[in-house]
Amino acid sequence: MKKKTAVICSSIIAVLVLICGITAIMIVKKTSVNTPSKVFDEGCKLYNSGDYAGASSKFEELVAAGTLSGNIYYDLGNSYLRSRKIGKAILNYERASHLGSLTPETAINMKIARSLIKQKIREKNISWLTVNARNIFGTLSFRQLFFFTEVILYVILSCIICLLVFDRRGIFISVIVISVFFIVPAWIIRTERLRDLNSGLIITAPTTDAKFEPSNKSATHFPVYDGMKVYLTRTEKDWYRIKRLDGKIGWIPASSAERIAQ
Amino acid sequence: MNILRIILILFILVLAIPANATVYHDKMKEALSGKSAKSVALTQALDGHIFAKIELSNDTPEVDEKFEIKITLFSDWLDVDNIRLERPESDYIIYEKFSNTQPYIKTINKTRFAVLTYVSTAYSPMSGKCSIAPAKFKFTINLPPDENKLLNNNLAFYKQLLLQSKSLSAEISTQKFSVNIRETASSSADMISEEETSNKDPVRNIAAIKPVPGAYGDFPPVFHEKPVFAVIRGIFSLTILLLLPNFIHRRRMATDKQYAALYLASTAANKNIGRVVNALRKGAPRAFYEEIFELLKNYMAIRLFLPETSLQDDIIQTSAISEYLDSDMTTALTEILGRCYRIKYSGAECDMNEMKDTYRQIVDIINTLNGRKRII
Repeated sequence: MKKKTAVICSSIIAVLVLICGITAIMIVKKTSVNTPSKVFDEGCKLYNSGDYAGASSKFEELVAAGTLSGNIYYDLGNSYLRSRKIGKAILNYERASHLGSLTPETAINMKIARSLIKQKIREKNISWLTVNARNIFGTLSFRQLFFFTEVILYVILSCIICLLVFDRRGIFISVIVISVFFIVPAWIIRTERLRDLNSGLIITAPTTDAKFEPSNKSATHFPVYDGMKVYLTRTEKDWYRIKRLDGKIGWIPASSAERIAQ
Repeated sequence: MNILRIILILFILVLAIPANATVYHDKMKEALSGKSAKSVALTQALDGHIFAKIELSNDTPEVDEKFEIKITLFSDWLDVDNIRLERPESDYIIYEKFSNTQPYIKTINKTRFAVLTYVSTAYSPMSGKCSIAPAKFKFTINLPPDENKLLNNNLAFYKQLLLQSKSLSAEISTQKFSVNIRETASSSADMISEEETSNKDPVRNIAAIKPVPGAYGDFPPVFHEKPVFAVIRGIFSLTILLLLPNFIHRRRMATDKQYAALYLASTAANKNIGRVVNALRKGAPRAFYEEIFELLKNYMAIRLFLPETSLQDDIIQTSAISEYLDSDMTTALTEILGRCYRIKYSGAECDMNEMKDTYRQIVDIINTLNGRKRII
């Protein structure tokens, strides 16, 4: 009788995990590979011929039409970087890394673009765990990270259920420990990505003064430069209240920055 | 015979091609293996990191017999997608143009070695495929120097290599299949050293654009906000919450002796009380008292760890029962036991009211012994 109950329970758990996994895959993996459009082709040709402004307008056309892919954002970033629009380039590389994965090319170009920002701001209070998590999971896109963490989460929850149902606990505890080892750094990066998507801003104006108050008459607190990443904490009319990576807070005109998530 | 001919041709070609231009890279051969047995291929190094491979679908083409030639450029570095492979200038008719399919990228992680085989022409092709029917087929591919920028992401980002301008020419005939690599006469670009490149404008060093749009998706990604994930997590959490009391109960049964005794005794009492009620309804005193005795015997044995044979007046008076029951109840229990023995062994009579009283008393005693876990 006990054996029968155990078989039924394990079958239910297996089906549950399978359904959840498939559902997660179906929702997360909603991408399609299409053939390149004429506009994209023209953009590539313009880029290769050295007309970077023309190429960026072609790629922007695609983005405006809702034809979005990591490669299009990456190419757009390249076009802007060649045109010396650092902020726009970084913005599009960021978008490319969120939509597709952070490919080596994107990472390299983003690093080059960031090296051109006038002022280097060091991130405040960054833990060793975050640094290592970035090294391990930093190249995954938000989609991949989300799928990974969800599946690991389902595995942990299933193991907890198994712990409650079955008497042989050693194997389930081991799986939980291993899963936690993976899920913690992945979750840190997932949270970071979500933060970027929810409140990440890239400065696209050459130099902007962050004010103490949302007014042009207010005193300047600190400057922000083209390409800098900041976080949006509040909006008021045409002003953004931003937090710089070093923790400084100030108000900038909304027109001087663009949100990573459009 | 065919194999011998292939070996012979290859041997001649190996000898014919200058040593510095010929590389039979084992790993690359391995990576590109799996071709049909009849095909023949030559792999040559264009430069330190770029290789050209030319494959023929038929190792013994007859005059006017159509066969396929495939040219592939690849690198042991990762990023070679800006190498341009133009349509070959041929002195013979190409019956079919280069095929136009999606790029195929093969990566072998263990050897950190990538083979990029673009079977495409419109979007910065890496390889081309065409069908020819030779008497003699000759072609040249120019690799323009400024387009052949390589970026090694295994090294620092600013380090890059510019390929010298090269021409790839191949000659295929019914008698001979040869490939030569030579520098184009107009070539002026030399290999630029890493230091030299890094000192220049860094924007020059950026990796090339991607020639294909890749997988389309939604941005910003909002799938994580879908309620289905909350539902999935809810199902798991609910299952855990539902299973938790049972788990706690099982743990206590295994570790808490008193809890286990109380639980098992109550279960046993619940089982027996049904039979007692049945006997009461039937008005059968003997059966009723036998069931009462059975109930008490089982219950006490489990609840108070008493041996089943020791349910005697004196033991009740001195045992742990007295700790749980007051003196009235202990007396009542002794009386009930006495009644059980009388009816069981001497066949004494009793009326319905007496049986009902006994039933009420026994329920009270068990409920008291159970504490909060009442049986009725």
